[in-house]
Amino acid sequence: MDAFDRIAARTPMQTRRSVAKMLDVADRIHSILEQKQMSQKDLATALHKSESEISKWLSGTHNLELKTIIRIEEALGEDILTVPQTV
Amino acid sequence: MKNFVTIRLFKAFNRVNYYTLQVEGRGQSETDSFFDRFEQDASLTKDVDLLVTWITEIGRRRGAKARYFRFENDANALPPPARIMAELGDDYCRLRLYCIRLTDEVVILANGGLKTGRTVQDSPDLLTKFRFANKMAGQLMELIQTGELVTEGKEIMNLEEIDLID
Repeated sequence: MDAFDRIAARTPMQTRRSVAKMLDVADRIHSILEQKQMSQKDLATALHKSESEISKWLSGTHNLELKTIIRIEEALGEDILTVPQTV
Repeated sequence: MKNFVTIRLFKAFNRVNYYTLQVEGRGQSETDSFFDRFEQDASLTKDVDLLVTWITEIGRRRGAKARYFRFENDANALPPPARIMAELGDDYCRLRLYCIRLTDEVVILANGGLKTGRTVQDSPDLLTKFRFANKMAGQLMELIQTGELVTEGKEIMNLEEIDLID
């Protein structure tokens, strides 16, 4: 086992889940933008935000607040986060 | 004195093969040297854990999309853009690992260090690694243009024939 593998093994699950979730959200927004043939600039305009702010949100490293995600969902007309429903 | 540099596989994941650079006469690859150096540094545990998590997540599940990487002249680096890191706070990840992203499936990891100043020029620990990565990136781009370096999927096809010069 080399240093990379040892570091991977010791990394807390919370760090791994956090990176994965932030990237999931960013990738989902990118995917919707592509599907709707929208640019980051279009999304920025719809949300009255700067393009650099949107770029930050879509980096996959930004800890987006739930209310921000909801605003993006409204602007895009699509769900970004879905929660499994128990019946 | 000029040293030959060869490329060898570092880690293979489902979506990405990460290669590394081996400088002639050095006991370990550039990327092994980077992780060995920072593995036991208690003040940088969170930073190095994050870097490894990014590399693994991109490799396993996502592919090496250009937007996951910082642009550093001809080379790239992880983690993502400085502007974003700055907004998350300087303590988010102070390490930089230089790399050369060839495709969504092939990335060559180099070496890196601790960013102590606002720019790489202000960070003595980083500057030599930045220059080395860019020197390698320039040569790799030439080899791609001349057809001497060919990738197929996650593989660099003619790996044993490629010699770079430091």
